[in-house]
Amino acid sequence: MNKKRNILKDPYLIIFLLFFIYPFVPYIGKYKALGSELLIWSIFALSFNLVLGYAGLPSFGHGAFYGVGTYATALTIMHFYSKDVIIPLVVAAFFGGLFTFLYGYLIKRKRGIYFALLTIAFTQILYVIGFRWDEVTGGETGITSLKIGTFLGISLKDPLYFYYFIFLLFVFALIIIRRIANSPVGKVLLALKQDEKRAQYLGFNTEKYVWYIFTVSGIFAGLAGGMYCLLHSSAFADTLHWTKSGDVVMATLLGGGLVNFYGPIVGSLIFITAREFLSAFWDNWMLLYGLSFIIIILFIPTGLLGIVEKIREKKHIDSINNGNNNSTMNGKSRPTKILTKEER
Amino acid sequence: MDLLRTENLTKKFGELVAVNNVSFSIKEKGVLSIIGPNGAGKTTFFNLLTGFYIPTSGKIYLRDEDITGIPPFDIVHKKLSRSFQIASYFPDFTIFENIQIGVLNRLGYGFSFFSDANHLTDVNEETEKYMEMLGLKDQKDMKAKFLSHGDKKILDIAMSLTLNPEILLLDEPTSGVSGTERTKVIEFISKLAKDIKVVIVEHDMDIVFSISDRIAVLTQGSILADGTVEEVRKNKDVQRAYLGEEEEEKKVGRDKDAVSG
Repeated sequence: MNKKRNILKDPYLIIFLLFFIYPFVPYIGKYKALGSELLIWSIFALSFNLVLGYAGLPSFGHGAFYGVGTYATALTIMHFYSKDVIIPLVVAAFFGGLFTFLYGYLIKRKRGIYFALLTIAFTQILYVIGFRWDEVTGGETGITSLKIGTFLGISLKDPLYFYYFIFLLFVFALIIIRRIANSPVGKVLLALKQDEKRAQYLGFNTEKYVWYIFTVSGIFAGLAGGMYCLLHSSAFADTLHWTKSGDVVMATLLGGGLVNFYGPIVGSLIFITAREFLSAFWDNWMLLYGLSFIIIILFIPTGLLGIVEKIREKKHIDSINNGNNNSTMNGKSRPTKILTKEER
Repeated sequence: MDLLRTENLTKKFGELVAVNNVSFSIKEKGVLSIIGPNGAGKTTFFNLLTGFYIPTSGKIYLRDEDITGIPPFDIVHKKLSRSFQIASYFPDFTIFENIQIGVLNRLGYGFSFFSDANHLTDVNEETEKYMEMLGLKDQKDMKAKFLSHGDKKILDIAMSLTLNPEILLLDEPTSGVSGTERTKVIEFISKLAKDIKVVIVEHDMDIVFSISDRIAVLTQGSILADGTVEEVRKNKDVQRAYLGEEEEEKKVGRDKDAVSG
């Protein structure tokens, strides 16, 4: 009972299992590239949500660091090293982190709309560089037909192998990001999101935390970008355009990243499936997606997993009410106590 | 040695002089009340002492260490802490988490990236102690936003205690709290004052006169009077400027608007 509840509350094992069997699921399993893309997007959205959902900072140009990752991997493969895929990915993560580290230093004091605009402006600057600097980025055509290396000697040409390689990285990234989210640092972020001044008066240098998490987020965004480059064997300036950053914001909000760690995965799932399947039927699928986004956010501002949170809160309030009734009777407050210990 | 001392402390907001040349010292233990009409500069004074504002001129010494210009998050580690006029806490955290977060910091887990925040035995044990002190052990897993107003005020104060302060500044700890809850808050504060120095800004004269060991009167950014309860009560300037006629003292004290007017 206890264990079962924990698995549902923190269902990363279920998520691993589902993605593990995905290639063998009838009908959809054959779209392995789609599965890979979903995993990549999930990593990107999870990393983004450390900044949005945990620290409460609207980093609306987060695609910048994803884009930096794609170019970092592409350029590494093209110019320096193409034998194994790990090094190009490490380079991507490094540059994602370096960019957020440097830019984060400049904007760690900014909050709200200013933070949002400064991140959007940054991704637009990178977009223009990517789009115009023909000699390095390939400009409009981007960098294409990259030769994808092996992973520890295993060829990734087979989409199934490639999918499991991406899956492995997803497991690695999710475990680390989850670990950070549940760590004291994650707690401090949630605290500063609620009341930054209070957090400072509890001795936390909040700007430093903002800077750190922005950097960590950049590392994983860069990694995801690098993976995207491997998936498509190419890098385009498109990934740097601010509308691409908008996609991850929408997906994360839709899934419920503001209140739930797994919201970004749910959001990515909806976004990627909507894009792939709706677009097959109708070119203007974005219209439907946009509409459903509006409807969901209007009625459940915290996103889809916000429903789960709402139910939890309702249970919570009920238990408080019961608790209050019981406490006058003195003895009966015990059952609540045991129950809550289980939860912890 | 003074616990806390200011020298010619001044804070200007443009033309407005909120705190004017205040030299003041706070000694060990007991309750010091700072009273004065609204806009007298009491909250600004607190904000200066805790590093939220940087003074226009003057110095602040904490146990003879110059702390002028040091940010709040460093000052609180020097055992000077505060609570807020509007109860300040993390509404979506449980009561337990609200306390736990400060304890995490004191026990050195502030920058721990990889440990599981909810499974640190020493932090949990320490946090439990506060739950007991607060008398909220049975409600510790309740979200703080569901607390009563008085309990929110107490939670705010308790959060400030998690860094083991020697001086605690309380900005209107009973504002907006009524009746029995008010008594509860006052009892909580007077218990604290046995171990640490408590400085409060308070409008309710009944409370001020009953719990203070010393009272300082602030008007227009300057100290008008400073002394024991009796001294301040008898001070002619204070009576004229602030308390009104002696007979009316209590009545005025109860009516916050009359005081601030």
